[in-house]
Amino acid sequence: MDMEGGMSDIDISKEIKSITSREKMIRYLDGYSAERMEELDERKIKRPLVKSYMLEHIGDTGRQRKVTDILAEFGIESQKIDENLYRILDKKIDEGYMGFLEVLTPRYFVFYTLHPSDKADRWIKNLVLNSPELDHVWLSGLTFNVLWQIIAQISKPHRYVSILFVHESIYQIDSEIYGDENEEDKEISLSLDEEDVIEVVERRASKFKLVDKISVVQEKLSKLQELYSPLYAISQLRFPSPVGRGGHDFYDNGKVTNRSGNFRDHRSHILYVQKIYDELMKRTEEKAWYSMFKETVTIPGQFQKLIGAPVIIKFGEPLSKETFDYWIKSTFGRINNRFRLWGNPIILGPKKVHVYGVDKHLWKPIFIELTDKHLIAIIPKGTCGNTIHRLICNIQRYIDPSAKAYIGDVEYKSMVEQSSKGVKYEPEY
Amino acid sequence: MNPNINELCKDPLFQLNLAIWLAQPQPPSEFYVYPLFYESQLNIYSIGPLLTLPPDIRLAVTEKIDFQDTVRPDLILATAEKKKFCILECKSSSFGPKSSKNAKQAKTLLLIAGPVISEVLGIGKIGENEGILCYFIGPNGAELMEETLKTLEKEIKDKTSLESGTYGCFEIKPSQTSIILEYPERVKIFLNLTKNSPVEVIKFEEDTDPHPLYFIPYDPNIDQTKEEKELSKRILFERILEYMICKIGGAYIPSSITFTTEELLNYATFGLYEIWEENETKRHVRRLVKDFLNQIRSVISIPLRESITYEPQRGWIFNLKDRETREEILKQLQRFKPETLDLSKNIEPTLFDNMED
Repeated sequence: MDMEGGMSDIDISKEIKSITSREKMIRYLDGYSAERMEELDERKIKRPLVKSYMLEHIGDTGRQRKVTDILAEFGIESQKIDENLYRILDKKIDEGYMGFLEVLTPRYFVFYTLHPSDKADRWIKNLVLNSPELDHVWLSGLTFNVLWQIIAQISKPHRYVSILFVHESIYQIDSEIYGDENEEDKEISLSLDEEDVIEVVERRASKFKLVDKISVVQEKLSKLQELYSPLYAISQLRFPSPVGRGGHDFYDNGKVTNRSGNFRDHRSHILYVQKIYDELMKRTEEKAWYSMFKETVTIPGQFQKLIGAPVIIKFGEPLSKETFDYWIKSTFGRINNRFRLWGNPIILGPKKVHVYGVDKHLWKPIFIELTDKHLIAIIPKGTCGNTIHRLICNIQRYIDPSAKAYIGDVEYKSMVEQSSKGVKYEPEY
Repeated sequence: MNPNINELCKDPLFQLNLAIWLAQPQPPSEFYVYPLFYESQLNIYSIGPLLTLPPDIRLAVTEKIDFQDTVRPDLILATAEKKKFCILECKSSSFGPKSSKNAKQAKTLLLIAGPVISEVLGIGKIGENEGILCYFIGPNGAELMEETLKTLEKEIKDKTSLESGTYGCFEIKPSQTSIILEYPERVKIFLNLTKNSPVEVIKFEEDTDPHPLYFIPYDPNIDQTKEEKELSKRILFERILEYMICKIGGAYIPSSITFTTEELLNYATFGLYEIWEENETKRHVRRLVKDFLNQIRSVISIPLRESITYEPQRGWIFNLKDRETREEILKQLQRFKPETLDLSKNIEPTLFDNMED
């Protein structure tokens, strides 16, 4: 769909600047969303849709800084509207006003913007890439599958749901390409900013959108998933709006596009998913964090207890030798790689390596065993739980969409289900 | 890549990590190392605790039997309700009742596993808890070890009239398809183990080394084969390097980051470094780390090297004056490969060993 008579970045910046209270922001974005909905109906979008980005602060409470202080480091000014709401002005590269930041909890916040996707996506991505303290909220295919069940429960069966499935077997390659050392060297020298442009030849890719009535999808999806595993790799899911047509499109990296005519409802859905994610994160970290716990007893000295649970991701089918080799090589042979992991693989067999490495999103340690059948991770305490969620997202997207994950002996899927129970669904209408 | 499995089964560090893995929760049908202890509701109570006999017991045994004032078993496991405790010691092979150091340690542990265990662990009154002393032992070691423990138990009873705890051995050995754990029926009954012996704990994959991920990568106080020692050293170095990369990568700019040998070793050993006894082996491992850091510094390009200094009373200081410095140091650290070092190299003591950071 084309945008006609669109407004410039300067116009958007000016409008954001003019908003001085929470009420004004809500009213403005509500009206703005309603206008866009009308335009969507006429298939003539004049201005970009409202987009939100769910972000997370690293879980280490001992060193958590205010998000406004983190942004200030990058030349981004947070102008206070109220206790938890800020106008965001990017002074460093003269981007102007970028949007609004709402601090939901010290750990989670959401950025609302009217800027076009390409600009907003890039801005958020650079922010996360450059800050070891910030990350996207990662919603894996396994999490989306549970959210989909919630949608089926709370929405009317005749409403339409939209689901995007994305799976790219980027590590499934020809041996001829695998042998191209020069190409590898070239990629090693790429800078961080160029990470996205790395092109890996795809051998199998599934990307398609399913739009159908909830009742139909509910009846068919699980059967289809059993037949075709990429259908487990949900990377975008629409919550139909309960107040009208359209809905809220959640992406796996925490982006949410408002395709409804109501901003308050959009925000409610974000708050709801954030609460589930927060609960999931607490459960994951509580169970998975490894630490040596010191207990002092009367006589004598200290007792050291090791507490935690391994994260186990089990592949549906064993990976081929070529895929395994290429995965290891392209992940640990390059400083910049899709999984953003660093480590020197200790090779223990043709299809087994150990890595005592680093999650470079947040610069936190992670110990991994990779084989053709599984990935096992030990997450020392302090490594943010979203390392696990991102890992699962990436495994489903790039390695095996039907992979099952466990935290210790608990299946990750059931952990998401448990996390969603007890979180009240509270639309503002 | 297939190491000598018999030697691996004898390696005390492998045994300790195996014991830890046996206590880790894992999916019921998709286990990595069969979680025998976890399934049997045995949890890790303590790793490397320092234990002593109560004064009245010491008085009762002094000059009657040889014992140690303090012992540090490798691991203590506890049942869910913390009524029963398993004191676990890892040994490459069995020893006889006359083996002075080992037998002394075993007698002390046998006494501790007796009715005094409640008092020794500080958890209740005498008789409220029960203990068992178990040895993890390499192939064909269990029979002789059981004999030794029987003799030592008798010696304690005959000479002191004191009651020891029960005992038993887990023999770790390879089968055609896996590493198995064998144990006597009384160990199974005491610990309420869910499986009959033998139990397959790690399945073999073709041409693949069965090492699990190591929680505890290094212990300077144990004897290992050259291969195992080199692997342990490599893992230790990888973990130290990984810690440094994490800390520098997440540092505020500008700032200076200080690494002390103790901090690095504590991190890399999950905190066990600080409980190792202060002796020559502990000093050796500190020398090892200093040498490793010197090696790292030597591969950092010359202009950047000025950002890294060593001060004897403080440690290694990385001065991250701006983002570019940090990025360049990180890039060079990420390219550093501990596997290229001579891992068999012995580090000799120096005059400045006592100048610790």
